[in-house]
Amino acid sequence: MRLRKTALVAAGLVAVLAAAAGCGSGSGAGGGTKNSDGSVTIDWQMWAGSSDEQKQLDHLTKLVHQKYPKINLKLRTAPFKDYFTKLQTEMSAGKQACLVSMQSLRLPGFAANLEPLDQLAKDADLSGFDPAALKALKADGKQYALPMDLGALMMYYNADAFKKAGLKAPAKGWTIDEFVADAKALKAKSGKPGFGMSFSDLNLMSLLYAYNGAQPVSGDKLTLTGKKMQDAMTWYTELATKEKVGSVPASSSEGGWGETQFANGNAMMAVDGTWNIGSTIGQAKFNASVAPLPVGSAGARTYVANSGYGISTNCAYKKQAFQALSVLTGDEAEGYLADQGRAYPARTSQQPKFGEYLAKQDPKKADLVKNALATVKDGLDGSVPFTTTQNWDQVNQLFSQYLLQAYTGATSPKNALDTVQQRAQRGA
Amino acid sequence: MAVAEATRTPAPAKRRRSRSARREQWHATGFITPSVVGLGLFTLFPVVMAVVMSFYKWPMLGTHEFVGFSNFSYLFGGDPDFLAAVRNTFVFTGLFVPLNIIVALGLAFWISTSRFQQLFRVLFFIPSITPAVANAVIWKLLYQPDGVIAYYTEKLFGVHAPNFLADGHTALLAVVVMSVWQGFGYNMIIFSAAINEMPPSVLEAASIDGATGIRKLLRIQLPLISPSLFFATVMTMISSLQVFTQVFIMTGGGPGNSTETMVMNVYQAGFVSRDLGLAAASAWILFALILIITAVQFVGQKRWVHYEH
Repeated sequence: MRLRKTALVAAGLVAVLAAAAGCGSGSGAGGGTKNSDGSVTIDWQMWAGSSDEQKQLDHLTKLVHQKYPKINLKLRTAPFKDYFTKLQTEMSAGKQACLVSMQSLRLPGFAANLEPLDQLAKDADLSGFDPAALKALKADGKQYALPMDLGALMMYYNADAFKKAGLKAPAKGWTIDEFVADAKALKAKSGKPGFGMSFSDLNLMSLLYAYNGAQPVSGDKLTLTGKKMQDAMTWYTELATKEKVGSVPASSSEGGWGETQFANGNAMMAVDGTWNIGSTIGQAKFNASVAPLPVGSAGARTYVANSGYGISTNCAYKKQAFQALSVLTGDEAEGYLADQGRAYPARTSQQPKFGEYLAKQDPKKADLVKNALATVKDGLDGSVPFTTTQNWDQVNQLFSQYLLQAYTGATSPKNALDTVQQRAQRGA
Repeated sequence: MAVAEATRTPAPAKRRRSRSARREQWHATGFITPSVVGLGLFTLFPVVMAVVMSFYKWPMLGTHEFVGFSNFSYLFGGDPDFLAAVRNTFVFTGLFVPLNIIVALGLAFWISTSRFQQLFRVLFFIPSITPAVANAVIWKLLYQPDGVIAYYTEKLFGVHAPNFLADGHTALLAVVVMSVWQGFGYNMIIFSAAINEMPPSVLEAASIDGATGIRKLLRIQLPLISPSLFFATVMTMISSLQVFTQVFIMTGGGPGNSTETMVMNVYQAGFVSRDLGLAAASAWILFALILIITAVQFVGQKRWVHYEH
């Protein structure tokens, strides 16, 4: 009797739990819905951090609806820092949106869940995009997303400090040796580090790439143990340990050390993306400017990184999704985002609008910003998309923990690289 | 049980009673259902799920497969960071718990005789109610190479301070110091209340018998507040074995793996490497350790905790 009752309670509990575990499924499958009037509502997943950004995205959905009245976009947003975690969990549950916003760095990890667009884009004209922007959103030779913006890694420098030290401002053709010499002269004059160091993927790896063409990833494999990479990392580390011109991050959690130190006036140069031109130049209490990365033994080199929109494989309305996608990456939408200062457009015809926006924001610094943007074209010389491995978050975490040890001299650059390489094996 | 059954009243009365008892039972079932369902749904189910997951290779994306004990054997055999994380967690706990208790106890005794006891209580409690993330960010700034601490050690002592959080020798210690500052307020409030509750008659008797100073503290006062001491130690120990926020914000587990703690290890396995099975296994080991340590404390308390005044 008692046993039966216990069994009954247990069975009831299991039933409740099963119901709870199962509930929620069935809604939103296929990333969109067909409405009774024949129109289609397509889910669009995008990151947004402020009400301004939300407003901009709402405007884009209206543009889509104007062009294609039978398509409604339903926005699903998350803050950028949570976006990819959320996307992952949704993908593992098969509940991702039809239209998925994607960053070029993260693309390899998500490509399996994205539809190659080559077939859908067969009749579309892609010539309006900067080729570098399109290329960055390819994986295995297939186009998985169309670009919203375009960014490249460049050298930010304190123009006042350069003038004070009697140095010529860096420009196209500036070499690695000149960079080190300038950093030393700046340190001698100002007493502050000439260069803000970093262990963040783009900021660090772009300068290593510029130094001798060393790249951390080949195909989709991590390749940190090669001679070239060791040489480049040794050179970078010695900026701190030997030349004493590098500002070493204060801890492994300081992902944005170099840029922040630069913007605060504590380091005279730092590598950062063009996407921060407006904010960094605007906020700096000195005249900041931007130059292409110094040229090393392999010629001019840098990385591009950007974002765009793709279509998920489980989308039930791929044709409509592509129509929406073509509006989102069209001249009008990208021009609008540039006008709003959101992004440097991937469409070449719209790129000047971004400079106009920045100039309007801070009339006193209009010339600085315009000059900086003018160098972006130079900065794109020899640029390739930055590719990553599937377990890139893990690699990044390992960079932060183990490269710092090399910068402080606690271990050798070779050891640090070997450690990261070895520990990243399991997740690869 | 059998004896009780035998001495029960005759059959008819038993049936009557059991009918009312049954009705009562239904009422009781009705009352406890919400909490049982809640407990089952939000506690038992996830706990059981975690056990199940720890035996699977369970990536965040993609399909999962049963792998037996391989997650556990990887943690103890293959993972170069897990044992370091266990060591760091125990070093942290070994430093943090005693320091926390001593500081909290010392301050509680110190303010117990003050006219401004209430004011001090509020002041010392502030770090505990400030969000830990904010505390950690501020301390990170203090520890920076050109931060406040480095500035004063240079100015006052002429000593060049290390890069506290980037140096493997000082990073964990720096986190312990910050954690003690943040954590002692809670225990101090508990001790302070216990000290105020010490029966005056016992203290008086002790003074009449000539107990003073350290002897009075060790033989009279500490035994009197031993239940609070026990409670504070157990709770502080549990929370310090789960240390995460400070480490995550201040050091990110680095440099190397010198500040990687067990919860950090769980986080990295689950949300950085996206290996939920491994994270579940790691979390279970942490749970087992906490359970064992707490059980040992409960067994040990019989020797030193006095509940009767």
